Amino acid sequence: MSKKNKNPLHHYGEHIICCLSGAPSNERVIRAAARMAEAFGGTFTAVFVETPGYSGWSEDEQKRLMANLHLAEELGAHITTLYGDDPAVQIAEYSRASGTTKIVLGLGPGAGHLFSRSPSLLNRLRKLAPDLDIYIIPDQNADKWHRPDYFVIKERFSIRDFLRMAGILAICTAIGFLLHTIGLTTTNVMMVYILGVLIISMLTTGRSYSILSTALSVLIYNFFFTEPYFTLRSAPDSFATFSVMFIVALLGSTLTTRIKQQAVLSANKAYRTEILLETSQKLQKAEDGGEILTVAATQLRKLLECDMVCYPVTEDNVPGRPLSFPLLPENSMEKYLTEEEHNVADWVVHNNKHAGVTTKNHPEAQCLYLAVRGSKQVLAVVGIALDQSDPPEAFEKSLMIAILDECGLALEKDAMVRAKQKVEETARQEALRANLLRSISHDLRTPLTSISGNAAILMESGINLPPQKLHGLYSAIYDDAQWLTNLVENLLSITRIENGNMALRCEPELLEDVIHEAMRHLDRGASHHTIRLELTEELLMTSIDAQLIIQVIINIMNNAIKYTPEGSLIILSMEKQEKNVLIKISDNGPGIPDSAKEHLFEMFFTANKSYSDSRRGLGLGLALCKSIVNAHGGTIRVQDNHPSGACFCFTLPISEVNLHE
Amino acid sequence: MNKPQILIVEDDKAIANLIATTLETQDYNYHRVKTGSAAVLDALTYRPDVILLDLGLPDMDGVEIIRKIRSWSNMPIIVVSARSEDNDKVTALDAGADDYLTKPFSVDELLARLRVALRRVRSDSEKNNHESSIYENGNLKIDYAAGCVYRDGTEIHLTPLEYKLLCLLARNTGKVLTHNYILGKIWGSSDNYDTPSLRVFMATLRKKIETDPGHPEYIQTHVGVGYRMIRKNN
Repeated sequence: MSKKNKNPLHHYGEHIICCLSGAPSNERVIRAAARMAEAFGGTFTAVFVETPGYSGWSEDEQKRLMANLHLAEELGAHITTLYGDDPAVQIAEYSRASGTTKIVLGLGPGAGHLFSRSPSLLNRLRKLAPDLDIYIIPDQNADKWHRPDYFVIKERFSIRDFLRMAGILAICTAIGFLLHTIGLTTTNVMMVYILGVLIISMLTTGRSYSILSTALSVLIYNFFFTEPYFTLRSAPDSFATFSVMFIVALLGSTLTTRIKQQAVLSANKAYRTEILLETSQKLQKAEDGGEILTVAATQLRKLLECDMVCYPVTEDNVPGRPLSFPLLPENSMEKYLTEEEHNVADWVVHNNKHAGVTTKNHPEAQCLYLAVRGSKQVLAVVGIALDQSDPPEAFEKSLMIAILDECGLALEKDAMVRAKQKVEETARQEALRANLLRSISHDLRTPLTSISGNAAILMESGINLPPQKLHGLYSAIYDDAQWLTNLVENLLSITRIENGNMALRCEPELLEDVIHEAMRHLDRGASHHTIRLELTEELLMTSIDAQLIIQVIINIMNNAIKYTPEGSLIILSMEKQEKNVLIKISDNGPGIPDSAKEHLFEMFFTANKSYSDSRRGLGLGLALCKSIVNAHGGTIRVQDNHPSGACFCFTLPISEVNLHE
Repeated sequence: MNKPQILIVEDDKAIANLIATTLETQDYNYHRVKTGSAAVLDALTYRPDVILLDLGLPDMDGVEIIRKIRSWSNMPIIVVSARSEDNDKVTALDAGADDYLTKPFSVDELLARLRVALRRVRSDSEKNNHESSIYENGNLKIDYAAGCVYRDGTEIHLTPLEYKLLCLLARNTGKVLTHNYILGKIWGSSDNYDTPSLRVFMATLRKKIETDPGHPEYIQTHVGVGYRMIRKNN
């Protein structure tokens, strides 16, 4: 475990690890660690250190290890497998990298003196990781169970290896005779044998051949090359030579064997690291939950070569619609997507335990269902259509679990990012609302002052004023009231958009009807402008929220009326494009400066304040138009009109009409 | 003819005053009530020609009042409400209201709608006097017996569906008919499946009977709500 891989979640509280083994007492250790993790409210990891001796474990032990692994998983542990010679070093390394605070160990009554381990795991750990809290669970049964040692490793007899050994020894003997006959000293012959033993341990698998060949080579040397020749008897002083030869050959072969085992281990480790690295890279690139699951499932499929099914867990904590990942495109996934299978996935979500093939829960299912766990609940369920006759090996299994863990982390991170975005979004809306309220209350005061002031004048001295003055007061009141009405309409539309995630009530409408309706609600100032409609002959049907689109047209038209001098020409035209209709509102007024165009559709932006008779505006209208048009799947933009003026264009999708008579 | 009798049901004093003043200028008789129960009672005793009804009353919902009055009378009801959602309009119209006016409304608009409603009352009473197989409205004439439609004296050719639509609107002149109502009457279903067809047929029908479809004289579109045949002065 490198520092880079360390789990950031582990820093938030206690991180407790316990070691998995095939010992019967290991169950107690796991349970104790789980209870502790719960009591501290910390995270819990079960670590299994796979040493070179693992392959020699008896079937019983492997089974017990698997049972313990399952137990740890059920108790909510993350499972991690480490590879190395020395468990103490591996555990110490891992705990440093992962920010472990406490470790739970099971130890026999012999004060930590487990057979064949000296100094004990406990003492070594103390030295290697001094700041780690170590908790000991006494193991009364330790005497009855001894970790098998290197020397009792079961090995299968292989004719090929045996023949190799015999052949090499024969060659050595032949070379020995050759050297002997040309008169070289027997020391050289001894060297040849030592070389032979080294070659044997390189070419054969298992230590027994190296040990056997060491013993044999000493015997053969004794038989052929020491006086008296062709007997096993020899002068007493040769025993020293024999012992040295034996020890040198043995050490050499042991080292070679070990290097070979290390090579296998490190190849495994490299493969594992490579797969995990690739997975985590891909997971990091994934942009949402679905993609994360796809990456994890694809990686698992590659590893296990099985059909895969993924159930994302929805917010209601039930499995959602499954995603299927067949191994071959033509594989039928139907049998994995039945109601029964879905129920098993549901069971996994609610019990946070694995189920399906090869487990005790719902073994009748088609797949093995594994939970992708977050820190609190199941985030997804992965179904692996395992071939029952060929269950995955321990190595694949541990990789599988590691990938699922990565996937869980990624999903959790994704959820956190999403939650953060949501909070930011809320904050942004909150800021917007505050901004809106501020500008509204400011902008409301002006027309209200004018209305109440003008009304007060009329009440007090209305009779004495000349008719022309009276008319001015009346129209001021009317205009301001009208302005307030428009404001309220826009505000209502805004609340509709901001509240309900843009809950559009779309209905098929004839664009013509909508445009005519909008024309009926234009400002009073419209009578001083020439407004021309250029509509298409063809009836264009669009699926829209009519009220909102009417608001869009009114806002743009009123803007054109407001910002162009009296007598200007305003043209509303529409044009059918492929799948859209383009609605264009152009005027021949002064136009809009380029600097303003960029910000025109932003909230609270009001253009050219310099325009003397321009009325106050909140700068809401166009921003609103933009959100409405975008919500309908259209676009809005502003451009220059030739020879002068501005032109606002927006598009709406056309819907096909099938007439029913 | 007698002065028209208007019942104003409105709990907001300022709006009630505004409506009352408007009616006075037109020389209408009016009566003001503030609650739903009083409205139902006065509709019975005062026998108004038209009811102007606010939906948000303190004691009961306006739609409820419409249903109650509709159970025994066909008198025109114009809803005047601040609820501007299409849904609210459709609910009130489907309950039996004739027309719907949203606040803020202009005085001219109010008077125009009132006139439409009053004309309907008058034509209804005329219709009762002599049941006719000829419908006449401005320059538009429908001969129900012959199944012919004339504009300015010349016959217009309508498809069977357009003719059915026109007759439905003509029989309910002055009343806003909601999309659902029309769909139910013409297509026999009220699912929105046929809504686009309705829009298109209405547009083609209008092109045939209106001189300027942009400024319709006969068929008014209430976007998101429905259509109405306007009674024209002869």
